[in-house]
This record gives sequence, structure tokens and C-alpha cells, in this order.
Amino acid sequence: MNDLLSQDILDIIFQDPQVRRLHKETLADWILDTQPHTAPLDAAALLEYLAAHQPDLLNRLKINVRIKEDLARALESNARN
Amino acid sequence: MNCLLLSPRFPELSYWSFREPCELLGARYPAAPLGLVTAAALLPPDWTIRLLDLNVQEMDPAQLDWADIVMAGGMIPQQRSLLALIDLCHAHGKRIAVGGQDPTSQPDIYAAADYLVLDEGELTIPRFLADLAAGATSGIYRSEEKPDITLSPTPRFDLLELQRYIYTGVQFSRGCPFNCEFCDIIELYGRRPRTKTPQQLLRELECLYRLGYRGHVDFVDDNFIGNKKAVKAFLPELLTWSRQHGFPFLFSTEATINLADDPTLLDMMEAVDFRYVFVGIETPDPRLLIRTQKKVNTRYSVVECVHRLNRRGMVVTAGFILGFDGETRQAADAIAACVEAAAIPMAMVGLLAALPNTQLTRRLAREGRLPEPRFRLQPGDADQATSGLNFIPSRPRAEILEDYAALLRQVYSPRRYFGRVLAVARRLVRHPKQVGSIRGRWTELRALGALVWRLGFDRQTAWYFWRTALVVLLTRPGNFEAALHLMAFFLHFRTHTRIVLDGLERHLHEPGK
Repeated sequence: MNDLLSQDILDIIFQDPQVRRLHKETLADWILDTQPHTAPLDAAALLEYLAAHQPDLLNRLKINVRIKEDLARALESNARN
Repeated sequence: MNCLLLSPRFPELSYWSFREPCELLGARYPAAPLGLVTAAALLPPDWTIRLLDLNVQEMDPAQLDWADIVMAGGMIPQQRSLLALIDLCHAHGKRIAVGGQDPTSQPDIYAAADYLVLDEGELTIPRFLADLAAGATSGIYRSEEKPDITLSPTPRFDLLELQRYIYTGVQFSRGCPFNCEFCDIIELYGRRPRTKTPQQLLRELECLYRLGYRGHVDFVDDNFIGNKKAVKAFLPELLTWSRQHGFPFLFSTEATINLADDPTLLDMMEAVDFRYVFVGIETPDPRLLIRTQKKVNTRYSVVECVHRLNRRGMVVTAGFILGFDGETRQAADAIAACVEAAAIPMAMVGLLAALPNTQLTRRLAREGRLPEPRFRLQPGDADQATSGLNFIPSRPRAEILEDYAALLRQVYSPRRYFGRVLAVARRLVRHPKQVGSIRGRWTELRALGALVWRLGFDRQTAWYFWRTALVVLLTRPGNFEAALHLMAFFLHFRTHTRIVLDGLERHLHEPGK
């Protein structure tokens, strides 16, 4: 999976003024509380989290021209696994 | 009582020493020791006080003979010099009191000092003075409480030889509301910013003005906009004062990136002639920013923010960090790309350091990744470029150092540096108010001659220097001076980068690394 995808996803979410602050805080807390500090953030885990907890946000990401192709590939790969 | 205040030496060549620009401008060191003159103002009025800044003056040990008591303080980079001063004082049979950030964070390193006057002096210096008057020959003075700095007296600027520095500092606030894991400011000064009153700060500026000082004043605040409401109340008063005094000062400060998101604040800062702002960008990667709890930076596009600040007349200098947990080999490239896209000529690229008493240090200690709990500087350590990574990082140390070396080479290559100077000079929209004295102009003219000689006839820099100078002169002549200042700083960055790279090379080729 593209290593930069998780970086791009977070960039888009956190810089989008239309995403509620609460959603951003919850996502940041999920990263801090559940993801290992010493490893790069796992994009597959991030997508699973978004699908389960913030599906509207994921749907908006799916149509974002900056990442939609990489995201589609990543979701497909997640579905296969 | 004769009291000698000593400001310990900073390492000869750190990122912050700016030796060559100081030489060009006839100064000995960039910044005056504000902490010591703040402490001096808290001492009894009947004491005779002398101040010796070892960064601008040599000390004759015989000067110690005059003193009844010696006081010194400092930050981590001054640690070795401060420890040597304790020994020197004792060799001369003098008692010494130490304070400041490093002794406060790790007092056990300074256990040899007679008095440890720690935390913020407004609360601990009076207790020290009471004990001293009662005949105490040693003591440790601490306070968990944070003082109300509206009661702080005007620092004793009169003790400084102001012409020996590029700029002098004043402090409007202490503390920062954010919660970055690696930061020691919030541990030392708290997360609730405390500010002085506008009148109090104007008294300090008036004092500098009456001492004949003109030019660059740095607000040394940990985060100038930590309490935006207070800053917005202060800046209009500063504007009125500056107008009444013919704009004697230009300003710089340190702030978080959200400054760029507040047009009212930017209007005010532009109006009073803020020309430089230091911003801790750390990394453009939101994954790392979240993990290091610097979430404020995730909300903005760094590049857009820097450009917005440039359009308000402010040159942005920025800090970047390599060595965060969970970073990949792309981290250095991402920083280099960000420095270029934002066009930040003066980028302080350092290695993550686990400073004493930070959330990061406590976590690393819990995880068994902090081999040496104390932050002791070794010979040759100067700044975050040389003393960082004092812990077991999450990816191989050699890999980080290789990436770091490549990043420094890239950021401080003449082509890239001068390219960024040109970019920022073309973007900067500045309406300078402070024009400088005739003496200052003459100094700058001589500096220009030296700069032309050192950069304009050097094979590595000549093309870039003349191209930048000519393009700026032809397209944005109003920013020519700003471009020259930035180009002058390249003399320092070139030397600093070379020394850091030599150190990294040696480290990487040591057996077993």
C-alpha cells in the first residue's frame, strides 16, 4: 500500500474546515491511543477506522481528486485481505 | 554587597551563534542575556551589580575578587560553561548562585553550586536574598507556583553593552497553551500563558529608548500569540508608542503557525514593523504531528501560511525536526520539499532531542529507550544538530543520520538557499517604519562591502549571489536590504552545515555504528 496515502488522508481531513473539530480530535485520539508509536501509521488500519467510525468522511475522500485512485486501490486491497 | 552576574558562554558554533553576520555588523553575539538582566532587577537596590557576558567579553578571573557573590544562569547549550564557572568561583573562594532553565530542569547536574535559585526568579530570588541576609551559605530555592508577571520589574537593560549585540530582547508573556510532547517550555512555564500589561512592556521599551538603543527588538516569548486577546490589547498601544517615538524599533518573535490565520493580528503586527517570525513547523507530515501532539500544525497548509506571513512583511524562520517515532525514510524528503515550497531560507533543521522534564522524556524512560536520564552536553555538542537523538529511536540511528546529512546538504546548498532568498524577496510585501540611524547605515554599508567580497567573488556562491542581488534590485528594489540580510546569513549556515556534516561523517564511520 502507498506509504504516503495515510499522510495525504490526514492532510486532507485536518485541513478541511468543513470537517468538524470533534471528528478530527477523535481521529487524533484514535491514532495516539491505539496505533504503535514506533511504527509508521498503517494506512489499512486508518481506512478500517474511517469505514467503521466516520463513513461520511471516507465517502468524501473517495471523490477527492488528489487521492481517489490510490484510495480505491487501497480499499480494494483491504477488501481482498 | 558587590554582585557579579555572569552569562556563560554559548558554544562557539551553533545554529544560533551567527558568528559571521555578527562580525559583519560589528556585533559580538546575536542576543543580549535577558534572563540575567531580569534577575538583576529583582536584587536589592543598594547592591552594586556588574554584568559580564562571556559571549561578548573575556573574563579576567581577577574580576571575581571584586565580588561578594556571583550569580549565573543559563540554558542547556551553556551547561559546560556554567559548570566551569562554578569550579572557577570555588577556586577563587567565591560563592555562586545559579538559576535559569537548565539548572531548573536538572538541578542535580549543578549540585556543586552554593545556591540553586530555580524556577521563576520573581518567587525564588526574594527567598534566596532573605536567607543570604541571614547568613545562609547554601540553599535550594524552588516554587511550584507560577508568578504573576504583571508585577515583574523592568529588566536592568542599563547593565548591558547594547551595541555588542545584533538585537536585544523583551518578554511580553511566558508559557504556551499547546501540548507538544517534546517541548520543555510548557513544563517550565506552564500552559496558561501569563502576560505583562501593555504599560509595563512600554516602560521596558521606553527604558531601551532612553538608553539610546535603536533597531531590532526581539520578543523572546515562548509563543507570542499564546494569549491572543492580551496581544491584541497590547499591539495598538505599541503602535501609538512607536508613532510617538518615530518608530525606533523593528521587531521579531516566535509564534505558532496559527498566527497566519488571524488577519487582525497580522494587521497589527505589520503596523508596528514585525519583520521576522520563528515558527516551529517540525515536520509537514500530519501523522508525526499528531503523534507528537503538535496538532495545531495539522490544521493549516504550512506553505500557504508562510506565504501569507511573507505578504505581511515577515520573513519566516522555521524549526524542523528529524527523528520522530514512526517516521519513514520519506521524512527528510518531505521536510526538504516543504522548506523549498514555502521558501524558508533560514530553516533550523535539527535532530529530535529528549529534553529534561518533557512528556517525551518521561515516555521514552518508561519504554526503556533513554540510556542516560540526564541531558549532559559532551564536548563538541552545540545545538539540536549535534546533541539530538539522545534516546533509542524507532528506526536505525545510522539511517536517520544519513537522511539528516542528505537533508542538510540539500537545504544549505548555495543553489537552493539563494533560490529561496530570491523567492521570499519577490514575495515579501514590506512597509518598513524603522529606518535606522546614520551610524547604523554606515555599518551596513561596510557590511555590504564585506558581503560582496565574501560571497560575490567566491566560486561556489558568486553566480547565485549576483543573480539574486540583480533580480531583486530590478524587480523588488524595496526588498533589496532584506535579501542582503538573508544572503549574509548564508555565510554562517555554510560554516555550520560543514561542521555538522563533518561530525556526522565521523559518527557514521565510527566502528560499530
